[in-house]
Amino acid sequence: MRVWLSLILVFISAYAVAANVNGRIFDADKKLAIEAAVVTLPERRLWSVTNDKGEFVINNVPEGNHTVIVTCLGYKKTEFSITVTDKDNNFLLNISPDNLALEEVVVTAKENKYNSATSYVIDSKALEHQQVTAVTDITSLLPGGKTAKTNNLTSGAKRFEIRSESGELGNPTFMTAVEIDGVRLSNNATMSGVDGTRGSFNSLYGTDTRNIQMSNIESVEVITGIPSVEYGDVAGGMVLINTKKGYTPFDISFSSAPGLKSASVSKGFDLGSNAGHINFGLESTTSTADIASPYTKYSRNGLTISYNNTIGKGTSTPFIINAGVSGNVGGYNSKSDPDNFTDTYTRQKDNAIRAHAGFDWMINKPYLTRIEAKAYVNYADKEHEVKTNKSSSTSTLAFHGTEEGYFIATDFEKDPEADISLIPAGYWYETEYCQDRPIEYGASLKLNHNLTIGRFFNKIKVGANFSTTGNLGRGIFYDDPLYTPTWREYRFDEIPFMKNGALYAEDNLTFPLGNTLLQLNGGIRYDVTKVDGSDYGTTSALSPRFSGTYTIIDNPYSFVSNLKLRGGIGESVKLPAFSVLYPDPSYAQRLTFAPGALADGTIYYAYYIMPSERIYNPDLKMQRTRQMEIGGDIQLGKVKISLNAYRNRSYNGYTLTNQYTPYSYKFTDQRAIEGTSIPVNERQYYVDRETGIVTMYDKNGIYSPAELEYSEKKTYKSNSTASNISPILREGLEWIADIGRIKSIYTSFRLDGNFYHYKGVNEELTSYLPTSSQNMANGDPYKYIGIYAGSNGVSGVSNGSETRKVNLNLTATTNIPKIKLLVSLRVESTLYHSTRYLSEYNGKSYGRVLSDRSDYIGSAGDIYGGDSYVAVYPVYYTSYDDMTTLIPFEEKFLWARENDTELYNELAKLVSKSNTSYYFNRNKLSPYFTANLTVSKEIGKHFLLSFYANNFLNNLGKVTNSWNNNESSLFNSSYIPSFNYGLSLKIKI
Amino acid sequence: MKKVYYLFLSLLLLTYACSDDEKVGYKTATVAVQLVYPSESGYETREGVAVKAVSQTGIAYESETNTSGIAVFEVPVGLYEVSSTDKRKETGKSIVFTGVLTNMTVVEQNENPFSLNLTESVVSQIIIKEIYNGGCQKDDGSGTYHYDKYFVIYNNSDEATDLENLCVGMVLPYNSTVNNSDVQNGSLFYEAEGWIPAGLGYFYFSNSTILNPGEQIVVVLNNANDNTITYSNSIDLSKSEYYVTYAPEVYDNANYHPAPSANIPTSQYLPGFKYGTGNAWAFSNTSPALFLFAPQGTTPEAFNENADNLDYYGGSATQVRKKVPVSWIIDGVEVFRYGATNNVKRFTSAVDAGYVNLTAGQGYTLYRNVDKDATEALDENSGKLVYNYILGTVSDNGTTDPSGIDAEASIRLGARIIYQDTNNSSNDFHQRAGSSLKY
Repeated sequence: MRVWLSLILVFISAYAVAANVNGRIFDADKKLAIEAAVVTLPERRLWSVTNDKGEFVINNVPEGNHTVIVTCLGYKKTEFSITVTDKDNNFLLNISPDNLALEEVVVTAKENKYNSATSYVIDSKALEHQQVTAVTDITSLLPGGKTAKTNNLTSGAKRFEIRSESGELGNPTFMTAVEIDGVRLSNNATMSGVDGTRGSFNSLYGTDTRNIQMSNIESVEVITGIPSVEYGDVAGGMVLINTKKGYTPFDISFSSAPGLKSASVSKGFDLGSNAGHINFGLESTTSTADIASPYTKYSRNGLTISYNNTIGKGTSTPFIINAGVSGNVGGYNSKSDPDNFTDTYTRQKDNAIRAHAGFDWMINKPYLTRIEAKAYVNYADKEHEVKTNKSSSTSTLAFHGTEEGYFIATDFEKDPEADISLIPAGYWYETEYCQDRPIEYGASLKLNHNLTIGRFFNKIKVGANFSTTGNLGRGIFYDDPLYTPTWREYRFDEIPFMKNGALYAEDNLTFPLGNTLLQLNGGIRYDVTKVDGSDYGTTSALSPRFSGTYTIIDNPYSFVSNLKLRGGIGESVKLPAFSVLYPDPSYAQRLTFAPGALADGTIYYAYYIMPSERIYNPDLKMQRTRQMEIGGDIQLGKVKISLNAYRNRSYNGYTLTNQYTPYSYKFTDQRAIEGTSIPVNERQYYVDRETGIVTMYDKNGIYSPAELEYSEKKTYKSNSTASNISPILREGLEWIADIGRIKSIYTSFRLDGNFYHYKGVNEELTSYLPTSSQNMANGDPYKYIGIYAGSNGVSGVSNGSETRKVNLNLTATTNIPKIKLLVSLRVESTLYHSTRYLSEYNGKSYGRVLSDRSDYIGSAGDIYGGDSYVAVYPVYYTSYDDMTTLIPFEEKFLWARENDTELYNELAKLVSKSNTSYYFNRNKLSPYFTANLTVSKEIGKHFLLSFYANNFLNNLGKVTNSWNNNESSLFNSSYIPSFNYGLSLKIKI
Repeated sequence: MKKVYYLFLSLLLLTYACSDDEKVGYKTATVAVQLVYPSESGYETREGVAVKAVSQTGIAYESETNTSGIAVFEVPVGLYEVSSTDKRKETGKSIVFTGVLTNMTVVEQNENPFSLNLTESVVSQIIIKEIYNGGCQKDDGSGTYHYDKYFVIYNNSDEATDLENLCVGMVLPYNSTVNNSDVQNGSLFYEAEGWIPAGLGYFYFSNSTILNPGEQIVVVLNNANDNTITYSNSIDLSKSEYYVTYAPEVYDNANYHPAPSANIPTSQYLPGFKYGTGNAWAFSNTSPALFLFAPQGTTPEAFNENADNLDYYGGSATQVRKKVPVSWIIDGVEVFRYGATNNVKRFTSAVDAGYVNLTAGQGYTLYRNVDKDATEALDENSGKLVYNYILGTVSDNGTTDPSGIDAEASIRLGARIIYQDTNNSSNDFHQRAGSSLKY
């Protein structure tokens, strides 16, 4: 009750009227008014655009201190502190052209303090200075970030990993979402596998960013914390890329590095006072696989055209229209490489076209403050084409039948439509295409309502998204029917589109508490996914998110000028990919009768084909991440320190596992035809399609037909099914300490770093048959299926791993405005790096310590005790004879050892054993370092020359690991970037 | 007796001194190798037995024993492999004593006495005459074609024999160039237990198959078809007299085991078993260890079904092998990959005391050397033997037949060749420039 009373008192005492803010923006050097500058009050989500006189108006601004941010292309983004009163609120604000004559130039990631989630912004100045080739390289600028090993674009896809690392469970890249100017680069319908290889239904990866042109990027924001509820289909980091908009001079740049060449031109045209601006950006980048050979390469040829216009500039109700189209033509191509065998090549298109249109209207009505709407389409062509040379001295089997039954292999020339074709002997080329053309289009509407009641300020945001995802590709096909290997058509364009709808609402309440300010943010998002043509039907998920900031000190005149705390908790949901949802037909084919070639030379093969589809999993859940975060900022004099602690727990990560269905088929043995009276040269065979029974005929009809004896062969067909894995934990601490500029040496220092802890173990029971070609001791197909804890057995003896890392980076930025020279030296270190494989079940370590490598029993000791071989048993097993009874493995295995040697030997085949005695040892690496140097120099007003040398000391040191006490060289290792360098020239006219 | 040997050795070493060879600039030392015959054999040392010492760099030094069975070498200091074969003839059979000593360290200014323990074996009628497994170059220059493997069984005796139930096996590990888990404390652990591990599965002659003296059977391991139509460097393996390993019920990989040519009667198919993992009997392209064995007191089927004789390579339940008693083994040939430094022997001395090197992918074949004395001694060969054999591969870092007899040319003239069979492939085989089925 007292609390309520206090609140009401605060509310009443704080009551005040909001005022209108107006002013003018000037060029600090030329003292000329700047048109089309965007003036923002970030804490209020209010904005205006200046008219030709540089004037702006923002209504309904509460009295008190506010931050104003002024941005305009070509000018440094500048923050001002203003105090709004009930009287005259007219401000004259000067902004400076963005060049190296400025004293403060930031070439690292800056924390976005206006976002309640942890978020970092990298602007074009940093991108230019670092000469970033792929947008993912910017993650090196985040706290504790590491420079990519190479800038080569041919070595595979470039995907974002935010607060996660490759090789971890739970599809880290798939959880991260990327948007360019609000266009989501969804990877949900992409069929290309890892690293852009041939398409298949196993793609649970994030979008490949190599086709995003760098020269046209104005800024990139990386939200590592809990994003606003307006962002959906994300469970681990948002990346927002903004391209350049507005008037700019001609910007021509060339850059060169070993194996990399790039040229670009961009220009922003002013179409007249009320006609808006149009921006063009053109870039051509080529990266070669081998610096000594210019043939196998990845190329990016991008064009961006964007239009924006503000109606009502200088008024309090501006209306911005924006629209844009960007595209890319390029990809990987080894066609002209003379090192390839004649006429063989691999080519993968990386073509894309993206378009968007929308508006942002500062409507400023009592019932509605701001309205934003947009529509977008994103289409990509990732067609993969591989031409390989083949040869065979006998006919080659090619399976095409999609129906169950027994079929005879037939020469292609005799029956091009045969279920099993025989490709003739000889030499030929096979050209395989995988036409992968994902498309997504969608629209969104967002309404903002600001309400000021005294010193209480409330912002409400409600919105809706709709998107449709599909694939227009034909799937895999071959150029020549005669030389088509085993293949069944599965057209991606016949898979129904996936439709997603979402509604969200978010409320942000700001109110003072004495001299401090509290901001609370709460939102909820409801996603509905409609999966036509899939058993999964319609699914939905709720994701609530809460955060708050508490500004304790905000006084530029005191030594502790800023002290702010923040925290949050929230859930985000990742929609499933096509690979999870749709049936991917698969086929088993078993040889049933092969009596050798016939007298006329015809090869005779009979096979049993068994089709099946991915199994529907009624228990499949949406992948989600629960994020918790707490952090704070403090400014002590010139020193700014920022600290963020987070704990992300990822649930229900999607995975594909196998299920095994027993079946039997009739096999007719060689011995069945021995002893028959029909002469070899007169024999003909008939195989019944339904029963598989083989009948032998005499060509001349002298002997009566003979039905051949057969045996029943039992085996399994494996089918994949989508399932969820156990929860994954990622937690850490990130810090940035900016030690302001020391004027005497023109240098500022920044110490950033992170502690990262990952623990991922999948304990979900998973069926697995270690080797399908394995037999029982008596020659029968192997009859047992192991049911393991997660990947135990599937990929070795571990079902997870744990990582701990401490990274620390020191960046010294020297900027001498007089000579327009900027030099940054960055020392990247990893002070602690420890990984360990884990095997756990029911939260406890799971495995048996063996006395030696050949042991299968050992003892239930500590598998992490070091230097011992470890065996991991399946938790249960089932047998062909009874697939429903789960037999506890350990109990039965130990029993069989004493009582049933034959069973013991067979069950032993399901035991997974470590290859080495140190497999479960902790792998702690000794610390390692690298140093990067970057220099930018402006020459006159028109030229900017930049040079970088990563790992410029070419560190040839060694790291030791505690895993097996080996030493390995850092040279060409994955720990530090390889020594590489590059030069770029930018001309502004 | 041993004391006398050592006294003698010491005396010898006193008379020989280590010396610096000033001219060539390296140190040499004296080595005395004492051949030790199994005491239960009843055989004693004799004069004139050849002993070979091969340095790590491949330089061979040869010496002969004195009456005490000691061979003395003067060699540069370093690591050597010493081997010797002593063949004693008895009525109807030959007794062969073979031994090999690896990593023999010869040091400067030190005594270098070594004992070479010999193993006794009986030379049988049936031998592996040739192994072709390395493949050849494709016509389009795109690499190696290696689905054309075969080997040749030969009756090297003067009596006919029946091959029924003769089994074809290979040792797991399939390649010689792996970190062999069977080597424990410097030797193959199964040597003491008297068996050889047959990996994956084996094939066998299921019908009575009579092989007369001097006759051979070609056993096609992969692709019993005319490979030359597509690959001119390859071999026509579709001939009606050839046999083929074909067990589609267990090995259904059509690249390795396509349906055999119609020319080959089904009665010449060798059925097979499988107890290991894989859908093909994948015979090494580079360095197999092939052997023939005849189950004693059991049948090939019963031997397969008996789970008591299983062994698991490196303790792995999936790397299943059968323990084949050494006494069952008719012949075995150890192949090393030429140029590799990590070749490890898989056969014990009782099966093959040596090895033959193969350079794969060039159409080379491994061919048994001719026993010159025995072949020339046959009256029926008079005027039929062709000399000046030129198909060795000496010019290509390989080997040739020291007898100089061109066996295949002589056979075409009607000669009956007696091949050398000392249970030591280092002496018994050479790398031939082409398949005997072709050249």
